[in-house]
Amino acid sequence: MSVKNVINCKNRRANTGYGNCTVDLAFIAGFIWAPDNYKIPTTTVAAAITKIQTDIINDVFELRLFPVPGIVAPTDNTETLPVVTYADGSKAVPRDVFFDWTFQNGGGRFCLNYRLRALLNYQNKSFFFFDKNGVLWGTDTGDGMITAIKPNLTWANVPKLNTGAAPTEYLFNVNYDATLLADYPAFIDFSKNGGYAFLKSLSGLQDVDIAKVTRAANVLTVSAFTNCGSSNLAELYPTQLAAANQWNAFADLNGAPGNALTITSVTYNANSKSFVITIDTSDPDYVAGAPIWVSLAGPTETYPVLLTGYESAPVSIVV
Amino acid sequence: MKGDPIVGFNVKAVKNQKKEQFIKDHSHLDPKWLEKKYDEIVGKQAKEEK
Repeated sequence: MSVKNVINCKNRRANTGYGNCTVDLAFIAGFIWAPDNYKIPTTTVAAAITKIQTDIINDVFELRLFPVPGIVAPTDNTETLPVVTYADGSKAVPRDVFFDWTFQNGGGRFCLNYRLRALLNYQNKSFFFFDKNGVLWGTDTGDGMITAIKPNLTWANVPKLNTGAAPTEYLFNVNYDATLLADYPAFIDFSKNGGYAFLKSLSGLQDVDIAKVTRAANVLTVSAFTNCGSSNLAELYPTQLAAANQWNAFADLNGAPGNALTITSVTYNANSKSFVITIDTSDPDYVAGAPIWVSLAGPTETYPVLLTGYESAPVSIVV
Repeated sequence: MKGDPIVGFNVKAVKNQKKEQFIKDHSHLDPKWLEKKYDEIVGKQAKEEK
């Protein structure tokens, strides 16, 4: 049958009955920043959990999820439904509204706000929201999966001053076409798989700053501190990070990381609370005296060992 | 240094090195300890390969 000039008037027909168990958009307690058009499989809750956990520590930044739990005060600034009144007194709704939500975050404080503001420069800005009933909300794009909602506007505000009567507020805004959630909802109920506690426990990677302590030829001593909170990873993981497979080293290529260099060993230095990385001088890419770039191994390497997600950018260590 | 240092070796890389180079590359560690370690790693590796 041809589809020419056929309008699907009945594609959204519905009845108004409901049973004892109804879904409710409860208190939004967090969101997950996702790549645009990101999809979570819905075959089983376990499959959804695996997908989420895998992509939180994805080594590829552009494929990664950034969970933000800890919303303490959501505010709905959604516009009033626009209604026009004609000369004869009848009224019409010219369009539906855009949701306009503001989230105040209670965890992460300035650190998290700083990172969310940095992510505003990132081209991918789509979101899942989760509520206190343990339900993750996205939109239905007709492919059997739950898809991240792409807002019209995403903004992390500058901090709102602590007045002495209220703590500093860190506010995050999203504005998006309300029909994506109200009329094309897709959700996963995690209540039998950890529920809200599972969703709230999702934690993003922590940025780590690597810095030179000393360097003597192929022996590099570096420190590793979390960018937020300045926790020394050498104190937290002296044994776990004293492992060659937990670090990466690269030869210098025109002032940027080039080919990978072989790390022969990593030693924990208890005196300087740092790590001593020994580069294999027989590696064909090793050039005596040239800068060497060092970073932690990717999150998929470090997470199984440290059980917390970290990531560091390669840093040039010069003689 | 009291006791053994906390070191994680890349066994595959060590196996490809001569003992002299291994000791020279690890200028920050005790050569006597390194010599023992090298024998242990390479010996262990050889045993595993049998």
